[in-house]
Amino acid sequence: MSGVIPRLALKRLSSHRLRTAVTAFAVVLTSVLYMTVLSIAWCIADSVQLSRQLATGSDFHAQLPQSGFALTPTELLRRVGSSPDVDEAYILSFSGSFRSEFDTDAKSAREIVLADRESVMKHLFLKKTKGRFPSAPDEIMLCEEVYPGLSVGDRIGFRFMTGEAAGGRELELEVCGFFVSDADFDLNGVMRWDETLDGELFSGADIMISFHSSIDIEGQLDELEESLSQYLEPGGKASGTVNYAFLGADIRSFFTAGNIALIIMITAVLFFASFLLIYNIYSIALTQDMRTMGLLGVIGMTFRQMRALITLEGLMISAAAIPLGLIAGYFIGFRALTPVFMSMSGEELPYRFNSLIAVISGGLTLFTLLFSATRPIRRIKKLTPVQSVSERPLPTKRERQRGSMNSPSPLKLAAASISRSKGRTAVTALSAALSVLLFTVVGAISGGVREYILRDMGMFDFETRLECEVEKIYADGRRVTDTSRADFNGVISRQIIDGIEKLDSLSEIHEIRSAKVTAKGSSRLSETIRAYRDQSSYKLSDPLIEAMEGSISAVVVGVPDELCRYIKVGENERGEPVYYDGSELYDGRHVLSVGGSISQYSGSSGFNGVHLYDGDLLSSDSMKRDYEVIYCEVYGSAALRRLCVLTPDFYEAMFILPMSVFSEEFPNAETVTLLMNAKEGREKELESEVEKIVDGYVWFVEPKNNYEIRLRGRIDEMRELDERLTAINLTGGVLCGIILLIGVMNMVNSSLTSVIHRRREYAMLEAVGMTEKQLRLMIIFENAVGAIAALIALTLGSVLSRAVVIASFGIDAGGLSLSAVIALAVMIIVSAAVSLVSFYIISELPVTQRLREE
Amino acid sequence: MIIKAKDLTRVYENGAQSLCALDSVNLSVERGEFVSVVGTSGSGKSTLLHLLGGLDRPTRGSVAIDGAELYAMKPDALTVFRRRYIGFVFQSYNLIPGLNVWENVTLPLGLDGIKADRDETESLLSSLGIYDKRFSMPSELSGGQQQRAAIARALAAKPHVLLADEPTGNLDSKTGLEVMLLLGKLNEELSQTIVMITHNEELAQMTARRIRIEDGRIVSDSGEGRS
Ligand SMILES: Nc1ncnc2c1ncn2[C@@H]1O[C@H](COP(=O)(O)OP(=O)(O)O)[C@@H](O)[C@H]1O
Ligand SMILES: [Mg+2]
Repeated sequence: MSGVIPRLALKRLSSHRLRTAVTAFAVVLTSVLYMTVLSIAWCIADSVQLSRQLATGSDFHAQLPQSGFALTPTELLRRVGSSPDVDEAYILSFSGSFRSEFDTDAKSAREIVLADRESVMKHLFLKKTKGRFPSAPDEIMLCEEVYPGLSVGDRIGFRFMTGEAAGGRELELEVCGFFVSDADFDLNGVMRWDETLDGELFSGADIMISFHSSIDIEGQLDELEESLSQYLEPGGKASGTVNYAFLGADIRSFFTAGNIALIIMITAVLFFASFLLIYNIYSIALTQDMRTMGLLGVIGMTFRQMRALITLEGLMISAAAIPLGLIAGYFIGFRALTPVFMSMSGEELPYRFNSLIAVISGGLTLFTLLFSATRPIRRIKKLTPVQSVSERPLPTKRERQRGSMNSPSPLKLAAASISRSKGRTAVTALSAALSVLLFTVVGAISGGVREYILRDMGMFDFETRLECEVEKIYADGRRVTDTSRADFNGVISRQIIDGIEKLDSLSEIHEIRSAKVTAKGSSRLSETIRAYRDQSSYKLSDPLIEAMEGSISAVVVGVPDELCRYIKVGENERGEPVYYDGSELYDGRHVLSVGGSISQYSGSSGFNGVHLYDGDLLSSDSMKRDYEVIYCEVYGSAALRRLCVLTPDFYEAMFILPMSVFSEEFPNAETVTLLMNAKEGREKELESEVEKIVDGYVWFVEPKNNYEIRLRGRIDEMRELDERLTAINLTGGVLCGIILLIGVMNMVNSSLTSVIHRRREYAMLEAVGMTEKQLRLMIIFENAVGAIAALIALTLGSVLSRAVVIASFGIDAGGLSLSAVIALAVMIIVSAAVSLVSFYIISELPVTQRLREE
Repeated sequence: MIIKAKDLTRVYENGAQSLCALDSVNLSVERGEFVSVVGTSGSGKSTLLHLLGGLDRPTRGSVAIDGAELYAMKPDALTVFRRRYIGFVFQSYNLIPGLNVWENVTLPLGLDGIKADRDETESLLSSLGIYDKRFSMPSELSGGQQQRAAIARALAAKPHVLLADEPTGNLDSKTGLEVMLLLGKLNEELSQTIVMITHNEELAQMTARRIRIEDGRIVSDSGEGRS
């Protein structure tokens, strides 16, 4: 192509400065929009995956134990590694526990891993800080944080707990290097894998596998095992497991119909909003340009050259605006909004930028821009050059002839000019409506979340919790503190209770007590656990094996009689909590059975914790009598949510008795928590008085953990709720705000350009006797379309989103969203302002001059 | 014969109504002729000119320029043919805004990937009397100057045919006459074939051949006998 097209494109861009600037701004907005949404989506997916991987300690797709194969680990590694699907494979041997002469803490045994080569470290989230990877069996690489006093070259004695028939074995090892660990997994040392060492001291080697593709890892692993079946020992079985922490492993489960619909919807809304803006700008520009385009056609510009010209103009604007938008998007979307949005989860999640976010956002923006240009280009194609040089007005959309003979009013004139530019009016109206609608939706969501949380929120101002802080230090220096609670393992002393009861600011106080018992299991429970074992790839833990064999660890909770009707026993079909409202519980022969805390993997298998069922008996040697079980389909702490946060241990069954029955059965049971309400308006006072009383009280569960009493309760929960809502509102608000800005830009852009374009038409109307007042009225009518559309969107949106929230949460969060009303007000103000400016533009020049204008 | 139109018909469909703006017109123009087309407003003059130049599409009939059938070509091919062999001048000067005179004049060549010869362009602009204005923007020029620039642009690619639709329509009579004399000079000195529409009988009298159109038909043609 000749150089004339680029030069012409540049000329046009610089001679239509305002238009170029508006387009560029639209492009910037669009990329900020895409970038924000992509950043949030990416960071959520990434942090979920990363935190799961850190929790399990590796990012491998799967692991295949060598046991069962008639091959040595090295041979197996070679076979696995030569499979075409496998990207990388390593030999690892876990869980040799040991103690070094530097470990003073008698109880803790450390974890060590044997690895065959250095490149495995990145898969285990380890970073080398000093020295080198071990090259001989008598060398060890240590975790820097655990052994701060040692240095490379030191020789130290290690005592392995395993080996020599579990009597333990001493080894002298040389420290060859140090590492830091990002994983949540206590790995203290890495040694070089060695078959003898592994056989004597470790549990046997696993082949850790990364496939080329992370899709359908289960299928790939099955295939790999199948291909290796010839190497199995007689009667041996390949028992590979998938690392479920790897998101790719269950990527299919992420793509549920609901999630896909949500993704498509959000993308479509964003695309639509930015498309409307850019399309609007283009179509306006093009209407102004039709003559020029036709003229260029007359003097010999081919359609292809015109298309190249328009595309090139788009690309030139993008070249400047997209990088700008990406930078703005990085700061607005990633740095500012993503952390806010992620804080909603209540956890501190790691978030990392990926340049893919920028690439995809840029690409989407460019696509939006080029796609928006296709329609104007098609219109150019239809244009015959003669239309541009003939003196008659350019044909717009087909104008129907009307038989009306009434003299038109300003309203009618406005209606006529609106219907003449139907397309553009529709775009303006749509984008105005869209932003208000989105505000309504965000309002409804945050209202729904609020009501949903409030419904289950605790009833008491304060609750005593035995808590201690556990600090974790990441390799990059981040310190994350986590809270650990003693719950049913804790005790609140009598002295404290007596002290608090005397307080004047207290309006009511309740005690929750508990007792631990070993109870008899039931055949139904055994069956359930057996069924779970047969279809799960996880090994049963000891408590589960015991439960299957008929003995369960249980905690029996005593709840004050007057609070028993706040025990949640199920949910109705709308998801609303159902509380216990029977009378059997108080008769001294019945007990509520609540499932133990549910493990994260068992949910899908139909296994809901250790549980007794209707018809079973709660019976224990340490209890005076047996109780008939009332089964509740509620897990662990959920049953007591309105009262306290007490949670049973994993695999611990939980039973609830009213205090009247409980105190007869367990007269010496300890109090595990206190529930308090303050007298009206004296919450602060009660809080500080109780804090004085509990100050210094410490409960030891293990030597390491000193639990202290903290006061938590409704007041904190409300504050957390507010933070969470702020996050929703802020993120949603910024996104909607950008879309509102798009709506406003569309409005301003459309009406101002149309007014400038139609100055002559207005002058004509004035010349034939339209008064200024009528003219102003007409312009106001013309510009009201966007505001009217926004009003309709607000009304419909409020009704609809309220209906949706009621249907899905079973909650009526009320009608109007304040931010949507504000958005509507903005629209109205803008449309009024635009009318005013339009009128000013029109009346700026005298009629005669405007009539003469081309 | 440089232009040959046969049975040229153009019907405008406008909803239910249809209007026959040009009705079975046959016309030939020889190389080097200067033809004026006259007729009342709305008689179909512009329609004829547009069809002769390949700007529109006829409902029926054909146009050949130098033996090439215009309406047998694909749209882009027709456009390329037009920019090489046909020059247009209009009543409203239709210069491209944002480009100066020089850029406007050399644009058709540029679109063809040809770099305009500097000397030739300069002498073209001088002969049209707008050399001084070569870097001016269209908005800085008077009507007569704009029209001269438009003529220069039409001639830049050395077209075989120059088609002009009321080129003097927007000019005062003195400037109009100047432009007319300029066209006459082009015709005489360079044997430029010109078809020109005009309202002005006086100007029409200055051309060797006059065609009168009424209601889409040729009602008289002073050159009829010759061809
Ligand atoms: N694009 C069009 N659509 C409908 N009718 C048209 C169009 N262009 C021209 N006409 C009609 O065709 C007739 C001839 O027009 P035109 O060739 O422009 O006349 P002239 O140039 O002689 O004034 C007129 O009646 C005009 O109204
Ligand atoms: Mg005409």
